[in-house]
This record gives sequence, structure tokens and C-alpha cells, in this order.
Amino acid sequence: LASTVSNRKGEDVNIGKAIRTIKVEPIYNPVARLTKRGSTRRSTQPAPPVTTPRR
Amino acid sequence: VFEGRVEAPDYVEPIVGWRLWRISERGGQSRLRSLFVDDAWPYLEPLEARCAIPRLWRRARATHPAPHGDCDCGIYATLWSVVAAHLGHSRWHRRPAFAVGEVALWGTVVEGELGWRSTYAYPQRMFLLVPRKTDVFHTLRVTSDLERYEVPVEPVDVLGARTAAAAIEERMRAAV
Repeated sequence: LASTVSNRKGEDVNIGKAIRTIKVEPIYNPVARLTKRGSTRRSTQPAPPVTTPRR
Repeated sequence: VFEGRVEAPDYVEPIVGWRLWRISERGGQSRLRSLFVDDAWPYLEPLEARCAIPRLWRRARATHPAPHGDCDCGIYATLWSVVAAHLGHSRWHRRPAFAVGEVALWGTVVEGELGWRSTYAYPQRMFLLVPRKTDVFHTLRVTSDLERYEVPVEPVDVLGARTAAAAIEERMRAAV
């Protein structure tokens, strides 16, 4: 983690050596699809945090 | 009749990777921000990459659209296994200031061994990392603010490396 977090040249983590450059043009707008769907917004309060066994 | 060159895309669906965000509060509202570049992720609009790397560090000296194959710029996402391995770091356990989640990437995408750098990105699903002893009302307020992205947001207790990752994996399995 230290090597990736301290890599401030890049934005976040180190993704390793670049392999290729591709062109990605979604046939739908990824943001518009979300807002159009509108069903992701929950009408109730958010669920409580998941409780997992303590180690 | 086409004039000029027409380039067909390699993919017509966005690439979906995983990443970490920090959460900042400005103007009383929580927003996602990139970890090392002070970019706020806008609600309901894609984040567009820019090359923020100091010129001295750039291998491609001229100003260029991001991402560039000879630079380190772009919006980053990686594999779940890489993010899961990072979840044990103590920095995520200090306060509810970080989120992890899936992000859609599109535009020009530089594919790396462990992830991608892209021109455009928008979150698809988020897990708010909630350390122990966090005020529940604060968690609810941050969760509510993040729901403005119109994607699923779920708080997850952060009790340790394996437990946080395991809790998220459990949620992902339940969603299938």
C-alpha cells in the first residue's frame, strides 16, 4: 500500500504497466441511465451498518 | 459519404472497476473526492479527467487530453482484489471519510495490468466505510448526501481488513 498511496503522480492506486489504449463509447449515457431509472434512490432510511465478527 | 476517418469504438459498454474515494464536506454537504487530486465528483454528471501532473514529472511534455499513454493522468479504477487488499490500512478506520465502490469508465481508456485510467467516470455503487464509535446520525447524514449521486449507497462497518472486504463481498453476492 505504501508504494501506491505515496504515488502522487497518479491519481489513486498504481494500476501497473499500461497494456493498451482502447476507445469506450457506451451506446447509452451511464449517468442518464441512472437518473432515468430513478429506482436506486431508496424511499426509506439507509440500512444500518453491517455487523461482522470482531477479530 | 464520410469525410475523414471514422474510428469504431472497441467497447460499447462502460468498463466497471473499483476505487476508493475520500469524502469531503463543503457547504454542509458530503461529496466524493479523488484521493490525491482535489477533484470533487459532481452529482449526476460524469467526472472528466484532466492532466494534473506537474510538468516536471510528465513524460509527454505538451498539454494533452487525459488519459495519455505516456503520462499517469486519468481517472483511476482497479480490480476488486486490489481494493480489498487496501481496506486493512488504518487510514480508512479513522473516521467516516472514505468510500469504496464500483465506477463506470468510458472515453479513452488506458488499460493497465491491474486496472484502468479513463477520460470519464461516474460511480455505480458505493460502500461508506464506517469506523467503530461513529455517530450514527453522522453516518446517516453522509449516506443521505451520497445518495444524491442516485446510485446505491450502503454503510459498512470497518473493523479490520478482512471483515470490511468480507462484508462488501457479502453485499455484492446478495445483489446478484
